[in-house]
Amino acid sequence: MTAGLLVDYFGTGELVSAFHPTLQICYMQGSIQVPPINLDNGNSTGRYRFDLPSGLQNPFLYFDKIHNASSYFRYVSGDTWDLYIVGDDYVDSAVGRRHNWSNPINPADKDYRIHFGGYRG
Amino acid sequence: MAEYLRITNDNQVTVIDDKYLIPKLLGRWSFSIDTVLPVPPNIKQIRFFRPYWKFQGGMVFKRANTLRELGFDYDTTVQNANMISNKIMVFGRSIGSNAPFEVFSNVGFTSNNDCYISVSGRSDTQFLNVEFAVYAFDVKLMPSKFGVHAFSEDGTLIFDAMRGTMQNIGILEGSLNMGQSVARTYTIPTPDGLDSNNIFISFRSRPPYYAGYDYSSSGVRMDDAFYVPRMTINPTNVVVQLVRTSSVGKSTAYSFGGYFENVVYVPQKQGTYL
Repeated sequence: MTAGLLVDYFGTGELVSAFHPTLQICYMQGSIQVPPINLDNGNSTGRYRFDLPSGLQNPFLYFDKIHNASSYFRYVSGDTWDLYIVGDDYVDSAVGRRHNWSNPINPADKDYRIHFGGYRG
Repeated sequence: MAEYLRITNDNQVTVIDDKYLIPKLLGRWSFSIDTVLPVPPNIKQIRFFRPYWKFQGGMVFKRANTLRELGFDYDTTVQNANMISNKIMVFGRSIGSNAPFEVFSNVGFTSNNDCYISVSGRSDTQFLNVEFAVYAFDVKLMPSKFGVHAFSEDGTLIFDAMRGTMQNIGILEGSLNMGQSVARTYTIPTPDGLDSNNIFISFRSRPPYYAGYDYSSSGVRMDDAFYVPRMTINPTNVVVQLVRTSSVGKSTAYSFGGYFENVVYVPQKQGTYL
């Protein structure tokens, strides 16, 4: 038997490895509060630029879900990243394109955060 | 301060300790996308900037009377269920097919004291089998009834042996060739000795949207499309392509959205860990 951290997840007596022995394991390091962002009326997109602590390569990143919007990240340079928030739109044949959201997309009374972590191993 | 937990891996690097939170696996299951979705009314008139899929499926993998019985340490309110829903993350993979699909997770609360955690998926391919893994990050969970729990100084449950770990492989990020039939191809090599069938991607980005028009003697033709992920699982790698849902005109009218997803390796077997 090889060394390892074994867990009986379901109480059945079957011990399985809790993690792969050489693959990195994700850990969460902290979060960044995002101030209220106003989306652009033209492309329904807003941007927030932020810096991660130095040394996080290929970080694990996510942003809290916002109703009627979605988000993604783009790498800029160094430790700098951009968060893009895109609001949901719809097209109505009578009146054209309409927004299904209002500004700010993340009201100040709700705590919306970018969560970041990395790998160890 | 004392250090109560430190686990190192075969490379002699600390991978679990009592300082940093380890994402916790809540469930891993699979289901078939088999139900026909109704064609939305007035699809030509009112159109949300999200793809319309033809089929959907899903499953509730745990049900309880209260959020605490479900496994989340919060009072049972609709607001708390919504908040938890926004803070859990679902990862998915297609089984035996590379048909594009999407998955969503939800924590819900119905008025007759019924709390549930569910995952649903959509695709244009009927009977596509999808496997998912749901993880919790900064949501307060009820500790497992047995096993090993590590808490940080401020009392946060940061490692729960019965809820596994999350192992990253990489991220899907960068510029997209909007307008092309394939906007981007990501190849994720499967690390040596690992099983490609344990690789999952997250579904947080809204599918990028593109609309284009063409002029011809008969007038202007305008079409729009989305870019949706297509996963091909090979023995030594997993390929994720962002493919266009339909052909569009060559001149750009609208183009927006982007793609960022996390790629994870889930060694745990199918089951409910919540």
